[in-house]
Amino acid sequence: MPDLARQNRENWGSRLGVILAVSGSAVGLGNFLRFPVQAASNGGGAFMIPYFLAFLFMGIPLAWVEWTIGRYGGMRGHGSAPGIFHVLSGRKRWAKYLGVTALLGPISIFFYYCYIEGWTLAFSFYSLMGKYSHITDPQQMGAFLSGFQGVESNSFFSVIWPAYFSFLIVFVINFYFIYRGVTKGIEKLNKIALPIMLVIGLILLVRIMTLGAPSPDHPEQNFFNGLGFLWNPDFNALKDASVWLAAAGQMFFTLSVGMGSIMAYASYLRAQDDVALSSLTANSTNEFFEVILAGSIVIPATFIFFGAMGTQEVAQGGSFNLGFVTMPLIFNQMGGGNFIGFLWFFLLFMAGVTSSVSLIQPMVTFLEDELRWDRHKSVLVIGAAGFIVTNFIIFTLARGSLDEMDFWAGTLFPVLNALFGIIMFAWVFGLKKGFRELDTGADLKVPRFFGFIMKYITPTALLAILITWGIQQGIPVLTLENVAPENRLTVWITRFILLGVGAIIIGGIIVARQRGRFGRKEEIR
Amino acid sequence: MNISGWIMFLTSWVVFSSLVIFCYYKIFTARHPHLTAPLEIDTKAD
Repeated sequence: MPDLARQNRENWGSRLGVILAVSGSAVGLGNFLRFPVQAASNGGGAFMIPYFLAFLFMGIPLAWVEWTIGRYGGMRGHGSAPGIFHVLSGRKRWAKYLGVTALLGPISIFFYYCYIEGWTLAFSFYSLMGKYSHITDPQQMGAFLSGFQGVESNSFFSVIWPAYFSFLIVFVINFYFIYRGVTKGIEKLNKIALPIMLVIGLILLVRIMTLGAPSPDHPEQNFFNGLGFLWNPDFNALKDASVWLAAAGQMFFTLSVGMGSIMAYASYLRAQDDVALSSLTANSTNEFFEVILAGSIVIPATFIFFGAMGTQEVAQGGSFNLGFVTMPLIFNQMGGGNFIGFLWFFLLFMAGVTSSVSLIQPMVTFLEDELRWDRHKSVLVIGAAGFIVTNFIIFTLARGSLDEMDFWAGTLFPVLNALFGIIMFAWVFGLKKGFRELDTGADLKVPRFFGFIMKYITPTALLAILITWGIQQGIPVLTLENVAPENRLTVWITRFILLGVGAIIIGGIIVARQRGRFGRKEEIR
Repeated sequence: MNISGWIMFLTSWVVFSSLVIFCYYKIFTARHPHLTAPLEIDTKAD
């Protein structure tokens, strides 16, 4: 097959490499912190019913679509959403602009995600050194975290520099792997990180399972009752629409769909490489980490040391509270706690790095493919811009910049991107051509009823999520309802930064169009 | 943990464990793995 458009594009070195890279992108902090909280707060075991359905009707089809259109675009020299949508639409002028948020979203998430990743690295070090091992009170541990984050100055930390230093290390690590390229950087990282994460996850699981009932006064606080807290179903919860929405939301975020990362990674496949089985394998790997490992570690451990009431409070306190306040307190109470705490935070760190490199890649791919920059120039420019924006977020964290960016980039844009992606695939490109692409080189025959799901059910579910979140969260966010007056300037600056980055991406698309990158000459099939 | 909890827990474990085993079994036993690493030939003179 003539392949002129992609002569200079890299390819994955092995099939396992791309599967582990997509799995690494999907397995992130949310698997270990968000899923247990969501399940425990939304009907326990009953939560798994909408969760399974969301996996079947939303997660699997969306991943198949993104793998397929990524490979299709890559074969035509386009590995990012603007270029992929352009070729899928038959080179319509408007299509490439639908891909703007699929670049803006992931890079904006990276701006704050790498700072949080730095916390996990620092906490793994602190665990090993026993820096917080004397703390037994949740309020004290909360103060330790706030002091570390630079939100307040206290007896634990008077300056932000330890957090800032850990951010610098993480930032350099991320760009090192991106700078090395797809095969030598991303693939190598994930081939090492995923097996390490699996081993650490299993060690943690065994440690929690063998804790017994540490408190003689409360023999009921044991591993199996902890599992019961998470898994005993409350079927009445299924009558609540918000539980279904929470399951769909969790499924959506956990698989990394709508981030542009899967498309970018799949664009480095060859024409005859399988996407059907590879996509399902990456999804199932993610679910293994989420349901089997995370589902058996975090909540049972909390239950063993804090009991039913305490675990309820912790679940209501949210994911970060669970990960950075409750879990350290749990480790402080168990034998070998310092080392187990180190393993926990190192697991989160590894999960974070494999995800964050995938957040940078769509923008790198865009600059390489559409503006014809080389990888090193792309990485340096993104690194310099990212460094400035992340610094703004670090020093305005207490004023709400991270929350504001997370709403747009981490909540709204992914749903929007997934909706655009599936509409482009099922309605614009067409299911017939779409399935022909999906079947090319496939080691798994995708049942044809998924065509109906892709065309009607998944877009409807995404629209429902978009509308509901738009009303529930979007209106209060837009009207700054929950923002203190003194923080409003920071929130507005954050919005202008997002608008500015979006405008730069649109400018990049216009420049690429003027240079003929969206013309007809790179047609290869 | 009550009976319903055990059913939900074991079902989830069996479904996702089976899926992951099935997928990796298919990956490692595929007769024609499509991806192959490019040859690394050092063409530079010593």
